[in-house]
Amino acid sequence: MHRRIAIKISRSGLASFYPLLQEGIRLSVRGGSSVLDFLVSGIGLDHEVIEDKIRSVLINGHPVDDPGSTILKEGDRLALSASMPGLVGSTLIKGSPLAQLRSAITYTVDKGGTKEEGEVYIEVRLFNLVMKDLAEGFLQRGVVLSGERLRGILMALISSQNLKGISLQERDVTFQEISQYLDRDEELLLKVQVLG
Amino acid sequence: MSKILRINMGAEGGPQVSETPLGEYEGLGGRGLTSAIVSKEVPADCHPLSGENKFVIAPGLLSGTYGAMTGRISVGCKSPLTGGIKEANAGGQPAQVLARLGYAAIVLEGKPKDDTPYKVYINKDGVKVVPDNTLKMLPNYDLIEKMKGEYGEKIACISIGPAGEMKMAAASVACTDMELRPTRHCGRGGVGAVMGSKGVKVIVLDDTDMPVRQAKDPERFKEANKKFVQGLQQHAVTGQALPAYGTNVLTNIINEVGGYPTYNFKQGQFEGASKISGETEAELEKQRGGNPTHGCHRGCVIKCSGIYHDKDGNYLTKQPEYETVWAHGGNCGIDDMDAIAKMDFLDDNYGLDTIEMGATIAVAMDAGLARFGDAEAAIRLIEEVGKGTHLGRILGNGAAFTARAFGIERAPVVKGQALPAYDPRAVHGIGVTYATSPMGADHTAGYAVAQNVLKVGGDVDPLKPEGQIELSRNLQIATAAIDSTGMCLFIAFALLDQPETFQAMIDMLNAFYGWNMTVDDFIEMGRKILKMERDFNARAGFTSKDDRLPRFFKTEPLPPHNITFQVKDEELDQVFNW
Repeated sequence: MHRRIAIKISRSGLASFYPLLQEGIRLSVRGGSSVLDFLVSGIGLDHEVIEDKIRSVLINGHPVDDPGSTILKEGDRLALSASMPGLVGSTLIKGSPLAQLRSAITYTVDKGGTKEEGEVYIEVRLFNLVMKDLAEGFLQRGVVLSGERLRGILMALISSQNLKGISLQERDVTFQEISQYLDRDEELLLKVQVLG
Repeated sequence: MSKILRINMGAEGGPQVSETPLGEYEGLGGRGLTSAIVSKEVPADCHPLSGENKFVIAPGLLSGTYGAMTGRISVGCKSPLTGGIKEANAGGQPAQVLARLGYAAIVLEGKPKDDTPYKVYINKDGVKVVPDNTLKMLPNYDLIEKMKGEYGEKIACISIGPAGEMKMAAASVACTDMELRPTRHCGRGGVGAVMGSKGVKVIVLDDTDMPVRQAKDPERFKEANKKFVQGLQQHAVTGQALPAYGTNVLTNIINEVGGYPTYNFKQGQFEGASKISGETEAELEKQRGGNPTHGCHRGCVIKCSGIYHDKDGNYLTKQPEYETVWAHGGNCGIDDMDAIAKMDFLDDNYGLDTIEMGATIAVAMDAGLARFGDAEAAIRLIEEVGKGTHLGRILGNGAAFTARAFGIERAPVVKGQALPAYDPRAVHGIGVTYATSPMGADHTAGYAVAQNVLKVGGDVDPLKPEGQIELSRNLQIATAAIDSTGMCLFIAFALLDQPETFQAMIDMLNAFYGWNMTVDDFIEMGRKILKMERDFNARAGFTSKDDRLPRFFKTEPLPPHNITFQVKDEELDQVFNW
C-alpha cells in the first residue's frame, strides 16, 4: 500500500509535470482491462475524446489499431498521442489507411494470454496535445512515483508559486513535514487537484 | 510570373542577363519547373560543379498570391552529393517576392572565370549582377546584415555561406524568413555548392511597388482559399499539433515506436529523447521569451516554426526542426537542447544541411573523432567545416565521404545522401521511399497523399504485402505535384483526412489560372515530374542497384523490436512500374 500524498496546484503548474508525463507515470489498472476500458472507466474519458484526441496508441512501442481488444498486462508501457505530422506520423494513427507501411511493428493481439486478476501496474506516457489536454485527468486519478522525483516537481511548483496545498494521508501538511518521505527509497501515490 | 531570368555567369566580359518567356515550361512551377529545366537543359553526365550544370530557382505556381501556404521556393540542379537530379525547397519570403517580381524562375548558367563572389539585385527596375569581394566567406547572418545595410529591410535574400563558397557537398542555400534572418534552407543534396560554383553569393529581391499576383477569377480564388484555410485550421495536425510544438513534436512518438535512429543507426530508441522533445523545446522557448508558434512566410496559417532563445533570453536560432534535433541530438547521443540549438545556428550560418551534418558527425563519432554524447566536440567539428580546415573539408562533404575517408562501413546513405530521422527497419514503408526516390534518401519525397490515394494508379489493397510498394509510389507522385504548387508540404496532413480541403487546393489553382484541373490531372502532373527525374537519373548512369538501402539495414536487427528491413529488391523495382 503506497503512502498517499495529495496536492493542489494552479493550472499553470501542470507544466511542471510535463517532463514526468513524457517519461512515464505508473498507474494501477484493473486486471483484464482493455486500453479502451482503462481510458473510459479508469480515467473517465468519453468516447468522443478518445476517438478525436487520442489518435495513436502504442503498447510497448507497437502501434495499436484496436484499443478495445488490446488487454493491458502488468508492466506494459502505454503511450498516447494526438495525430502526428509526416508520413510516418500518419502511419501510426490507429486504423490508419497507411498502416501497412508499419506492419512489421504493429501490435498483434495475444488471443491465448491468461487474464490477469486484481490490480496491475502499467506505465503511461502522454505526448504532445494529449499531454497538454488530458494531463489533469490522469494526475487527478493518482500516479505512483518515487519520492525523489516528486521532490523535484514540488520544488518547481514552489518556486513558480503554483503549489497551493499538500496533504499526507488526508491530513494537511507543509512541504517540510513531508520532506522526510521524499528522501526515502519508496514509491508514493500522488493525486493532483488543479484549481481554476 | 511569365518569364525566366537567365544569368550566364561565364559569359565573355562578365555575367550576362537575359529574359525568356516560359514557352514549353508554361504551366509549371516549383519542383515541376526546376526538374523540367534540369532534365531538359543539363547534360546528365556533366560534372555538377561545371559550367554545364544549371542552378534553377523557382517559386511555386501560387507563390506571390493571396493564397495561404504558398511561400515555398524550389532550387534544382544536378546534385554534387548524389550525382543525380536534385530539388530542394524552403519556406521564408523569397518565393513570394520573386513571384511578384514576375519571374517563374532564375537560371544561373555557365561558370565564372575566377572566384569573385557576385551579388544579384532584382527589383522593379531590373537586374544588377555586381562583383563584391567584401562578401567573400561571410557567414549567412553577417551577409544578410550587410545586405540590409545596403538595400534596406524590405528585401528577401537567397544566399550561400562559406560552405557553399567552398563547394562542399553538404552545402545548403539559405532563404530569409519574415524577420530577415537566413533560417530557412534548401538543405539537401549540396545545392549550395552548385550556387557557389556559379559564383553567386547572394540574390537580393525587392518587390517594392510590385503588385500581388491576381487570379483570373478573384472571387472564386478567394472562396477556395477560405475553404482551404478552414480545412487547415480545423485539422488536429495543422491546426493544433504543429502550431503548438513544431515538427519536433515527432521525437517522442518516433522514439516510442523504436524508429528513432540513435548512435548512427545502431538502435531505435534514445534514452534522452524526452529532454529534446518538441514538448520540452516549446516550454523552454516560452520560459525564455522565445516563441513556439511562428510562421516562416507571410500567408502561413500553420505556423510550425518558432524562435529559440538562449538561457539569457537572447535570440539564438530559429526553433530547431525535428530532423535537426534528431541529427545533432539522438543520432549523436546528445540530449542537450541548447547545444543542439547552437549547432542549428552554426549550420544556418555556414550554410549546411543539418541532416547531412548530423549524420556526418555521427559517422565521425563512430570513427573515433569524438565520443557519442559529446556536444562540445560536435560543435567543434561543425566549426572545422566552417573554417574549411582539412578535416572540415572532409566532414563538409557529407556522411558517405567521411565514412570512406575514415574506413567506416556504416554510412547510412542512399544515392550518397544521408538518411533522415526515421529508421526504415521499424517503418518499412519509409524505407521503400528512401530507396527509390530519385532524390536519394528523402523523408519528404513520399509525404503526401492524394484524394482516394488507394485508387491512384489502380486498385490497391493496402493490407497486401505489395501495398507498401503501391503506397510509396502514390505518395511520391502526390508529393511531386504538391511541390510544384509552392505550397508547404505540411498541407498534406489535412489533405489526407479531408477530401474537401484537397479539392479546395485544386480549386485555387483552377481559379487562379483559369484551368479545369481535376484531382487526376493533378496527380498526372506529379507522375510527369517523377518520370522526368527518373529519366535524368538513368541518363546520369543510375540503375536499379542505386534504389537500395545500405546492406546493414537488411542484416542488422534494430533494437528494441529487433527487426530488419524486409522489403525485397524485386519489390523495390516495382515502385515505378506504372
